[in-house]
Amino acid sequence: MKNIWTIAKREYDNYFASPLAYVIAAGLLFLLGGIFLIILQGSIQQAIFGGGTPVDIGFINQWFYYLLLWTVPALTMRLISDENRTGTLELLLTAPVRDFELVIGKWLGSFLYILSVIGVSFIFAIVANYLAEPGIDQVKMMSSYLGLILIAGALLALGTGISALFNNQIAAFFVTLALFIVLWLLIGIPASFFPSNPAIGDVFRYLQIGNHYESTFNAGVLYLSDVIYFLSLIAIGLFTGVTAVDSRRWR
Amino acid sequence: MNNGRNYNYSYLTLALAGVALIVTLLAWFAKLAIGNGFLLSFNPDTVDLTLQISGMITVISAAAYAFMEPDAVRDFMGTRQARYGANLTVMTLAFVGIIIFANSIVYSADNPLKLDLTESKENTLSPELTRALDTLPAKLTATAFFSSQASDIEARKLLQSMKASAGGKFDYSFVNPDANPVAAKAAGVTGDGKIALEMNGRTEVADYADEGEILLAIVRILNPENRTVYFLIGHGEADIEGNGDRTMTRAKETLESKNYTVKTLNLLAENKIPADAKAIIIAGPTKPVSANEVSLLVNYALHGGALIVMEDPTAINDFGDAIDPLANSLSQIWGLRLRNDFVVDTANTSNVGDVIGTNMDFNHPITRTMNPTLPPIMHLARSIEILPREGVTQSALVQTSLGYRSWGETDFTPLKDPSAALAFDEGTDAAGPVVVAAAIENANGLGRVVVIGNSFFADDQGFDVYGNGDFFVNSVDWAVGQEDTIGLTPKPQIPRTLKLPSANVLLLIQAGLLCLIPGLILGLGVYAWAVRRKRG
Repeated sequence: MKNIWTIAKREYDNYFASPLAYVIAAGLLFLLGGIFLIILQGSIQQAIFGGGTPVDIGFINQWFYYLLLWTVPALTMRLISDENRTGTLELLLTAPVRDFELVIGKWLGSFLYILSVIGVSFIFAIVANYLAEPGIDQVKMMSSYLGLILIAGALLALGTGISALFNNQIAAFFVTLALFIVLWLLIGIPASFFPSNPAIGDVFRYLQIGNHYESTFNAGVLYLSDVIYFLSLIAIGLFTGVTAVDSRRWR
Repeated sequence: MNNGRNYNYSYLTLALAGVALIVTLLAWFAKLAIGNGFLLSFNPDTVDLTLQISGMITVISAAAYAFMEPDAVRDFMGTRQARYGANLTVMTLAFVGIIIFANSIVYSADNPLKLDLTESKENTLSPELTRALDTLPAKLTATAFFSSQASDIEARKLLQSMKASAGGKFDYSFVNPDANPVAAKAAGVTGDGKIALEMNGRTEVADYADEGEILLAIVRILNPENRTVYFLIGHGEADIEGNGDRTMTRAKETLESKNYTVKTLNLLAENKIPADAKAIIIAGPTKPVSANEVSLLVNYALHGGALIVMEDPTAINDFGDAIDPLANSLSQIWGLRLRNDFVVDTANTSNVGDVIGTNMDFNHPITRTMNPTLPPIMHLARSIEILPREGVTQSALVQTSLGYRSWGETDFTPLKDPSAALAFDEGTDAAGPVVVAAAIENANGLGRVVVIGNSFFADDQGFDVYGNGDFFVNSVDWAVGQEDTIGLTPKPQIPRTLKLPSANVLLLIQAGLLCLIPGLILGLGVYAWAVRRKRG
């Protein structure tokens, strides 16, 4: 456990030593702030005629999730592939660190980074709450954030796993991005090709990330199956990472 | 490898095993596809046979290779890679198995674990619907007709909650009406996003995915009631039987599949309105309805009855200059004046006599659920002027679109002589957008009238064009009071409104979100970079 924490902390500090992390955080918050203001403007227009609705945090977080699909590959691409390339992975593997500690630590470091950005984005919820009478539905808002955190964890775990498969971070980036686009959009398409066998269509629909967030977490309803789905993605990503690192010992 | 005699052949067996494995996989895919309604031109027996033979060849040739090259196999099995690889394969299989098992157990649970976190419990079914599902006497099945254009997220959520709450007595499926129009027709579904509920062979349609609407459909299934509508005859109206020039058999079939009884009414012969009439449809008379009949119809509509009046431009029916008592009464009593013109709508450039009804009233029950990309389309309609009247709620259902020039042309010569120019005449022609369908409801809640300046949209040629059938059936549903909702216990909604920020606060929020936060983060980045550079 101590090893995991040490690696996670080192990885977290690493992010803040590179300009990329600042640019990504500032870019994410700038775009989300813009979306927030557009919604707010529409709501103000509506309020002039009476009965404007408060800003829906679920809508902002929905966009946060879309933006994560494009930024997480950049955050995870070099996590393990860079250690591979520079050869420092050999050093790490001889150190008294277990493979899973290394992979989980790397993932946790990136997760903490995204958690920090999500933490700053909490300002949106505070402003929305301030601008609502009698405040926004706070439990629903927390549910939306919980879902967002699970999505971030799952995407980062998959990215970490893929990063461990490659020596080249650009390759890791594009493979991760491709996987995300499949899970986000493409995997749902075959669902409509099985009209006579709805069970198969359900499987494809189940695999699509959005179906576990958009109308569930983000609508304030928590299904056990959604939680299990995201935990499964995290497990798959970390398992891939551990296996890939482990296989270097005998490949 | 040291056995030179078998060397050439052993590689052949390995290649054979590889080819047979590929064939096996292809056959297996084909079998899957056939099971799902694809590749139906293949003979399933042949595919099965191929699968068995190729599977056998794979095993036998792999075994033959192992028999001929025992050393090679042993060597391979003995390597570190093989041992670790096998280990990895087993681990991966076990892991994937656990993941699939955990997900399928949780997903397929009949009563999924669910927590509604919203303050006003907006994701929980209303007690009325829960009770109705609890006390279902037989199995209820829902078929939701959603094309790829309609969003089915809400419907899936609702139907899933219903399934979880009904404990095995309710099930649902989704059908794409574009891919399977036969099923939609059989269920009496016109339009998109509707849900057909079926129990013991009786089907009722919920017009949209909404708890109240579905509860109403369930109640209608459980308490079948008389729903008789009459088509007026005797004035050259469209026929609901046979295959003559102008027939409305599609309209009749669709109403019947929605559990309506459809009859004809010859008012001249009977001289009274039948007691069971929920609505009377006057589908494009070619001669004016007589004053005596009109007084019966008006009296009926003023005392809780419902009329659906479809009248075409006088140039294409035989009205000529004859007095039209029906149009006069509609205008005098309810303020819906059928102008003596035909509508020119330049939204359809190839045929300006066609009205494209995208400009619908999306607050009215008739047009609320219509898909704007599938509007009613009417060939040669007359326009309707809405005059203010006391004690009547008037709605303009369909108008010509705002973005195109349109008007009510009073000069009928272009209809007879296609070469004559069409032009808007200030003063005589009504300027667009003009109303082509309107509805009224008497203020006492009794009596509803729908007036449509066209009857061709509902005949057999027009019924299945775009949203025509949907518009017609919705009109009948509304006229007979089918859209009435059941009073669900209102969920204790917490009204949340926006507190208007003052200009300064708004400016602060804008500056904070767009400049301050991202700027601060970038500033930190530059600082960190500078510090690192200084340190070297």
